[in-house]
Amino acid sequence: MNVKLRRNLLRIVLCLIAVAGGFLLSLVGMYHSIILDNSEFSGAGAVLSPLEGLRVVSETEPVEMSPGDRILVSAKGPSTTLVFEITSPESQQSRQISYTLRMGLKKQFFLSVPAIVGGEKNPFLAE
Amino acid sequence: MKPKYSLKGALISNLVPIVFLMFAAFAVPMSGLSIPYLLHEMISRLARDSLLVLSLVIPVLAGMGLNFGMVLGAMAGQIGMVLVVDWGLGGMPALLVAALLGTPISIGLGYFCGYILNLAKGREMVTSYIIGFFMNGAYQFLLLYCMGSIIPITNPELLLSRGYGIRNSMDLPNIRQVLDRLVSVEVFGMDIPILTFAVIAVFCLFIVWFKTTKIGQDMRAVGRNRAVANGAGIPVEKTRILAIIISTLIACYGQIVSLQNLGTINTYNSHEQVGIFSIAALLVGGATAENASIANVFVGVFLFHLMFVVSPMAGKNLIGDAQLGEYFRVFVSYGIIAVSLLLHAWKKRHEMLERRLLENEGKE
Amino acid sequence: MKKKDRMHKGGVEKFIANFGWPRIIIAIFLLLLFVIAPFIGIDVGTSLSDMLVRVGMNGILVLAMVPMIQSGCGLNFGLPLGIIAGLVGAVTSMEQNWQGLFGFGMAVLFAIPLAVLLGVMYGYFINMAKGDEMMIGTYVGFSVVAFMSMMWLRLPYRNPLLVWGFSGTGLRTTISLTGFWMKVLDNFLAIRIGPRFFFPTGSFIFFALCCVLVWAFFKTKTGIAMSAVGSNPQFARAHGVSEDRMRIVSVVLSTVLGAVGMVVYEQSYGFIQLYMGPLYMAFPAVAAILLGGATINSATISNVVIGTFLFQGILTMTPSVINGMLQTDVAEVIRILVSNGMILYALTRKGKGTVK
Repeated sequence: MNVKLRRNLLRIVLCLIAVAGGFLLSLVGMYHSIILDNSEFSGAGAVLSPLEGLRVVSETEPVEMSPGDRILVSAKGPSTTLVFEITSPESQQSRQISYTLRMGLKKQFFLSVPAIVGGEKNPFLAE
Repeated sequence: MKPKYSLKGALISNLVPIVFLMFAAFAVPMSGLSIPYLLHEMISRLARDSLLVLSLVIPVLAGMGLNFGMVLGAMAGQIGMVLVVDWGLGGMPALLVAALLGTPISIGLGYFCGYILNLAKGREMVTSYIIGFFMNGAYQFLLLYCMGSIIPITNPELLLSRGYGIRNSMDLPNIRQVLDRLVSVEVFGMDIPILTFAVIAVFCLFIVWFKTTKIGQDMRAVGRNRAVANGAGIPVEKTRILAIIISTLIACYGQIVSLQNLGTINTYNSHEQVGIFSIAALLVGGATAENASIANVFVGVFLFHLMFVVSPMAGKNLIGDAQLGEYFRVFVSYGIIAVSLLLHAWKKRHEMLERRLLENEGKE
Repeated sequence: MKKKDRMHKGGVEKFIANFGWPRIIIAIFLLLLFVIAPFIGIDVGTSLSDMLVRVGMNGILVLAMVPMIQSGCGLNFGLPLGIIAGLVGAVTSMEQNWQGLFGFGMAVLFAIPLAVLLGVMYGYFINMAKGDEMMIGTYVGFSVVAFMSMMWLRLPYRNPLLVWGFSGTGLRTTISLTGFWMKVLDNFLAIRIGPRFFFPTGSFIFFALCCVLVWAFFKTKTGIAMSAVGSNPQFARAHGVSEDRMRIVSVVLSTVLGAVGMVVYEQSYGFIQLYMGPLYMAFPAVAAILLGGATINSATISNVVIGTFLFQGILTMTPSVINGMLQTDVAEVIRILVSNGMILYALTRKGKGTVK
């Protein structure tokens, strides 16, 4: 009885470890699709216009976004940090904004860049 | 009296690989392919397929012949990969999760296969061959009808146009060559996937270690003589089932390694050829249904794939028809198994006759 | 013969014990399918006709299993050898543009000598491989199919209906029999009742003829010797019968029957499939005879007939009924599961030749 019980207990523990491990690995290894949108954002109250001179620099190669653009960004892992660089066309001064997105196990995200830059609490678009 | 080590004895016992080496020596120059290219191809294929062929070694130890049921392990690995792709995983974690998913499936399928093989003692090879086909039907049922309907698949890209059932082939952009590239060394302009070979080495060590354990010794005893093993108190049936389960597990991981190297899953075709080609490779390496060593695995994979790569070009240059070369390659693949089995059968009869002669001489 | 005696003595119980539960289940299942069919909109007449045509089509190929089983060589997975002989015969007959029953007959005539030759070679291999015949049969069969695939590309056939248009050489993968001898046996003396029911009398006559010939053969001295070699080799040897020779004869007989059976199959199917077509054709025949109650060591003519009917019945009815019910095409998967399941069942039964 003792041996059998111990063996089954061990098996259950191993199974739990395997499941937990699988969970962790999925978290670490999941690829997420993030769609960044540079159109007008009309969220809770404020209306933010699309940005000029916008570049996403956290990618392997910086991507430029014109007003109205939408790009697809792929990210791996539980969370990712997006860095936006906005160059004002008149003053040629640029500022950078970082945004950390906690992705967890969700696979698709739809974000509005003006909202992020504008400091909105909820930059997520419905669709 | 110990038989003296003779050249003749060495030639006969290694007949099959020698024959194919000679064949290769003839066909390689004829194909016109360059040595560096061939070398690179062979290294790549060794990394890809060795683990699959390795899975065949344990059942031979247990006296169960060549385990065509390894395709069940390959199926389990593939199901794991399909699920992992559906969940959007990539990189090394994807492979590990696929392995985690495939493990219980492999154990279940391995148990099923082993159980049936115990019912068909003396005919294990044909039976495992048919089990492979039978399971293929179940696998198709699962992937073609259940997935997407009863089993939810979240990624619509994986499904057929009718709405359920997995597509015939899918690319694995985030998984392709993940294990291979993780630790790779460049030698003479070729990338050598060190980590993959390390993983293979780990499994080789496992097999070597396993043979030294009590269970391993039990297995060898069962393989030599079931009745004697039974008399010694070894649980023959359970040991045989264990051998098949281990084989199925290794085949599952082997298929995952193979798929990450290829970067594409052929959902309904990949595993069918796996059994035929792995067994052919093992036989070319000099193994028989009663004796298979790790050396047989690597020599076999090397020679068999050499033949496989070289045959179409050689056929084309020799006869001038590429299509013919393709059929020639199929002919060689099947012919290898037929010839190996025949040669081995001939050898067995030869030995039996010699032994009988010696016995008769001894009596006089 | 023994079975009939037992049936007279016993009753339903003995019948069930002899017939075997799997066969009874499958027979009941088949009946059920026929009963359900009209309710789903499937015409029983057409289905029945389909089934009968398929029985005539496949029967002789199943019959080809008997000699090798009886002589102890196991299930003939090397049937593709006989099939290839049948293909060569058929193609040669078509090369000469022979039509109708004459073309059919010539195809058979051409196929037989080649079948004998291949059978002798195959028989020699079988004798080398005592104990592992089924595996070696499979791979010799595969190798020969692959070898012939190379040959089909090169053999000197010139009839424009058979070869590829552009180059003028190399046989096509699929060759249609329209205008040659398509369905000549099926249509010979065929019985048609109404627009939907069709009985292929010719095929059945031919099938019955072959069955009678084989049955008669096993009553001759050679036939009895062959069965003895399979069931009790010691006894056979003691009576001066050469085991090896009998095995080769059985292999030749199986191969010849396979060749003839293939020509019959082609006339009913209407197409000749070369290259890799014959690769897996042994499996349905093996499954059918096992379904009919044969074991690895013993097979009778009734096994052949019952097995072919049951197997082709299941193959015809299950897909259409299930397709009708579920609106999906599961025919292929059902075929795989049923045929291989039957073979597995037979392989796992304890018979005369199994190792304990």
